[in-house]
Amino acid sequence: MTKPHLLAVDDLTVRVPDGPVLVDRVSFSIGAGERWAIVGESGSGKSVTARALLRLDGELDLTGSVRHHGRELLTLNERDLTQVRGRQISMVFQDPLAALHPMRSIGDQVAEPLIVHGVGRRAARQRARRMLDELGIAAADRRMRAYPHEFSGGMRQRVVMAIALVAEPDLLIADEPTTALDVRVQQQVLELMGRIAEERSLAVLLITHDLGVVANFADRMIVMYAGRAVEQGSVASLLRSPRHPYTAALHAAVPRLDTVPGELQALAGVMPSPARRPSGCAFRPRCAVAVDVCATAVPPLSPAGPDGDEVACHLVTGDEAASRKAAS
Amino acid sequence: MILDVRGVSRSFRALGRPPVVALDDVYLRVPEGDTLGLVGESGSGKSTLLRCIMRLEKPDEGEVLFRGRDALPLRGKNLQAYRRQVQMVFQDPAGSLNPRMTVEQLVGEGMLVHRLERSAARRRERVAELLDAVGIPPDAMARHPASFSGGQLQRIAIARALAVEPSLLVCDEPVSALDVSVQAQVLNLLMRTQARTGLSILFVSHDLAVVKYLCPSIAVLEKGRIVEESSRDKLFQAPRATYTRALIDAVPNPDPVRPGPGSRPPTPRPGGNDAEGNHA
Repeated sequence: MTKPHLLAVDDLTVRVPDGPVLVDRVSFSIGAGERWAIVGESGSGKSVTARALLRLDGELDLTGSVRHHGRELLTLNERDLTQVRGRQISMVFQDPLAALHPMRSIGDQVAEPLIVHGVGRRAARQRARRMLDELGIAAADRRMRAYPHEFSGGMRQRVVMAIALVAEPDLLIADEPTTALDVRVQQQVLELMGRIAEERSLAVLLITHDLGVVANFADRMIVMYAGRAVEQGSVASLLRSPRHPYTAALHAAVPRLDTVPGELQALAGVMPSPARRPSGCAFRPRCAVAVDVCATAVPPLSPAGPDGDEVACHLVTGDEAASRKAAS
Repeated sequence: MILDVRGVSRSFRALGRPPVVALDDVYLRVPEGDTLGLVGESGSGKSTLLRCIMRLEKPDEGEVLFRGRDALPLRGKNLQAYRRQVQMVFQDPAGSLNPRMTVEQLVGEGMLVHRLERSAARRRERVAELLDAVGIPPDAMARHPASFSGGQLQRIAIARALAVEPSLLVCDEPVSALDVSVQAQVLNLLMRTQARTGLSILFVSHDLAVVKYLCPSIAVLEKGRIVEESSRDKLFQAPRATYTRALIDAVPNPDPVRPGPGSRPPTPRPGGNDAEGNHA
């Protein structure tokens, strides 16, 4: 492919200075209009990865490469980075109330990114109003003058999305955008985000712990465990037949409408913190099928399957898998 | 019936505004040794109802019968006995456990308050047993809440509630703040405890998949009214209220459904619906 990807991430590593590695060599490439998801439990490094793409945590050491249309973001100066943030790549956070200023009107807040990026006040307010309208906020004219406390949780998340989308970025990073919402509101917000992404051929990187949300929204996914990508590829193949034991366990732990009472498969134990990551495969202590080699070597992410899927497990790729196959 | 809520109403009045009816003539029954699921969204009145049952809020009208006796007029010793019998597990374990107390103090506090175990040594033993039952290692006793994950804290909160040997456990969205792997641990713990001790459970959630997994009978609360109450099977096969239907439809299914733009056509599932992937 000659055209550079919309976002190409190579060996992104995030480290606390003189401390543990929070994210260990994560790589992926997002094409225009694609929908990606990073899935993992709390502490897996999914949010740290997402925030590192826009260098939101200045105190952390970042190495590797993050290129947007071929331009390196990790070494970009602050001023140019500001031009990327909110305008070309924007972000929506989990808690909409914390993301909104309690004492400024909705209209001011939605128009702000445009004003920061040099659009005149009047035009900015007009575009803000249209954006709110597009996000299904009725009586947008009146709502422009309202304040965040007057809105419900779902409405606030729409406002936050309006702020993120008003400057027409080509990539939206959404960090657990629906986790604080009720199931029905969650469904509405996801549908809305999907519709707008389609209309504007906007690429979305969704950060979530909810496999149900992934299955309904994303095309490609990355499963993270203890700061590493353990499996990535197409949502259809990963959720239908997970290759990594962790993905399989996570998938089996979700209660569905057809789960027989008493037969939900819990995953014992907890995820290790980055400072106490075990040797070899980080999932080994909780893994039901681990063998000797899992304790000594970190399994590399290797190609598996036709859809460009990759998995980091000695039992799926590598010598161990070969000898198992030969034995059976 | 261990709990029989009869005609409970509660409204809130703010100055210069029409009153908000949080609960409107609510009837609800929890059978002895069984689990009732209560489903509703934020604003449906779930929390107000639980607060009324826990005697943290006074309803305008109605009765809350516990084993046939109205709990609302209880005072003094009788109220204290009621509060031992009915324990609550909250949504946010980090917010409901005192950060300055050790796990031993947290789990043992109820026994002290209700004078169930006077000897410190016996109390310690009981705490260790309870922690063992919820899968927390005994060396956790001297530690503080800050050193545990959300799922561990929720299990500690459950141990704390079970320490006074309640007959009814009221759970307010106990797993919605937890990761899926941990959520399954907590749900299975509740089921095991019930099988062992005959505990009755009132389980509140907005996640119908979770409620269906745990609760043989389910009530649906919408805008302060019970709009549907039936057995698990009936509710899911033929929901009567449109609101119930909408809640069922909103449950995210973790199996891929979206072919998506630019992606390959979905591979057909061999043998219909059972190609679930191998999680053996």
